[in-house]
Amino acid sequence: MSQFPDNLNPGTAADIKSHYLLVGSIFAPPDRHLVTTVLGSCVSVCLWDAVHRRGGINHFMLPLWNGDGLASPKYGNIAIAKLIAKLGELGSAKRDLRAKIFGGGVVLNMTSPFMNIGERNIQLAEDILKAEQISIISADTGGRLGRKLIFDTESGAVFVKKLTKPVDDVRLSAWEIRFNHR
Amino acid sequence: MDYISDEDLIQELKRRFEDNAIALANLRVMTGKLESLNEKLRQSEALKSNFLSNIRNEINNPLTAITGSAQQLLSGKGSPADVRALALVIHNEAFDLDFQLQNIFAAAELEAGEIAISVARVDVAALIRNLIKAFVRKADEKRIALKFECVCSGGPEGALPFRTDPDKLQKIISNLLANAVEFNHEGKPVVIRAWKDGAQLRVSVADEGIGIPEADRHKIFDRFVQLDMGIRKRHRGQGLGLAITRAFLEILGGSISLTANEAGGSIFTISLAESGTESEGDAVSESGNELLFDTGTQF
Repeated sequence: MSQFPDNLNPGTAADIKSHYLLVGSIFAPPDRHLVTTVLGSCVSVCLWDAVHRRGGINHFMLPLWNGDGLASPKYGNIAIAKLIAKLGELGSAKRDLRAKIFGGGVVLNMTSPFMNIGERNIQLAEDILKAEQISIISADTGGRLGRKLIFDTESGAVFVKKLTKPVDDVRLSAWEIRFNHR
Repeated sequence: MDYISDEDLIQELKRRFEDNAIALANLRVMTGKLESLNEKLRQSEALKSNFLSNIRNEINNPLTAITGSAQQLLSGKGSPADVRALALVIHNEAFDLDFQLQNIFAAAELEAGEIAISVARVDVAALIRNLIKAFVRKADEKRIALKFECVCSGGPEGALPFRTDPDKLQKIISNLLANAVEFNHEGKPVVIRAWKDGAQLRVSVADEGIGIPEADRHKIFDRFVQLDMGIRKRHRGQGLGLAITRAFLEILGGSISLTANEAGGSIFTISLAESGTESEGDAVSESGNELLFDTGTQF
């Protein structure tokens, strides 16, 4: 399998298309893209089709849609199902898909006595992928720091950088980054 | 070997019995929650099917009015006043139809996760003035005056520059404006205010209409929900506007609040953060950061 070139600066690679993935959105292009996103307690599932060498990624904030507002991929159960469907539309069979999971950091000042939202997001991703029989071949989840990741949809490689900001600050930071990305 | 006394046995059984009772109570609470969640999801699905049947009224009826009026115009009969009236029908019906379709497309994009953001420096005051121009004919039908109060430099015709996604901001404000006109009483004004509060942009839209009961306030942001539903339904629309408005605001890092207007009716206020100036230069290694360069042998 191809490696992410060592000298590649994903932020400035001019000849490769890039995409900034917003929270609650899904991106599964037919051609090669470097997809960037920033995660706090949110989780991204990267799916990669080893046969056709293409992939897709989502970015969800909460595990399950509870009927509030729109049934958008802000919720994990919707985001993962729609990502699989989108890759399916491109012609990728589910049996060819492999998964990587990122994010789900621990929010420190939690007031809820229930399980941390980051952990619940990770758990949901694992449960759904298991039910869909898609193997998780790597994961970088939990912890107290936010993550920035860059997903190469062609090679399936994922470049992860731990942010110096704790998870609680990442949502704000993500807003800032997305506004300045274009 | 120690034997437990009858007394101890009774105490132990009592304790276990109490534990079971607590567990059972917790289970009941959880079951209750799951039942209400299930009911809400069921309702949401039912509303989605209603939407498909309502679409006939919402799309077909305006189209019938448009083609009917156009045919009358084409017949070439009628005074200039008749022509104007027919043109007004066509304009208003087409305007409504376009508005509803834009909302359906926006909801579809949001639910598909295909939303992108394109940030630019916008003059919020000019954007609102243009929206008012677009809605003025619709408002005239109900003799509603659209008033704009801008707290901006350069007086009432001044500018209010702000960095955000202009298309989304326009959809947010136009939905609030459309609701205010739709649910306002005849002859009452709709007042739009825009101002900056530190780094935040705030826009409020106030009507003097039927208002929203406290108990219903949590429902109005759900999709396909209108408070006045079923066969009595008197108001147009799909019940998508506020769901879209809130979803766009979340994406833009903003929020929306609803208060009762002292003059009767409702005031919706949005609050939006301006983009920061932090540079996007941290894509490569920095000292002190852990870099995980995942080349993966399998993937």
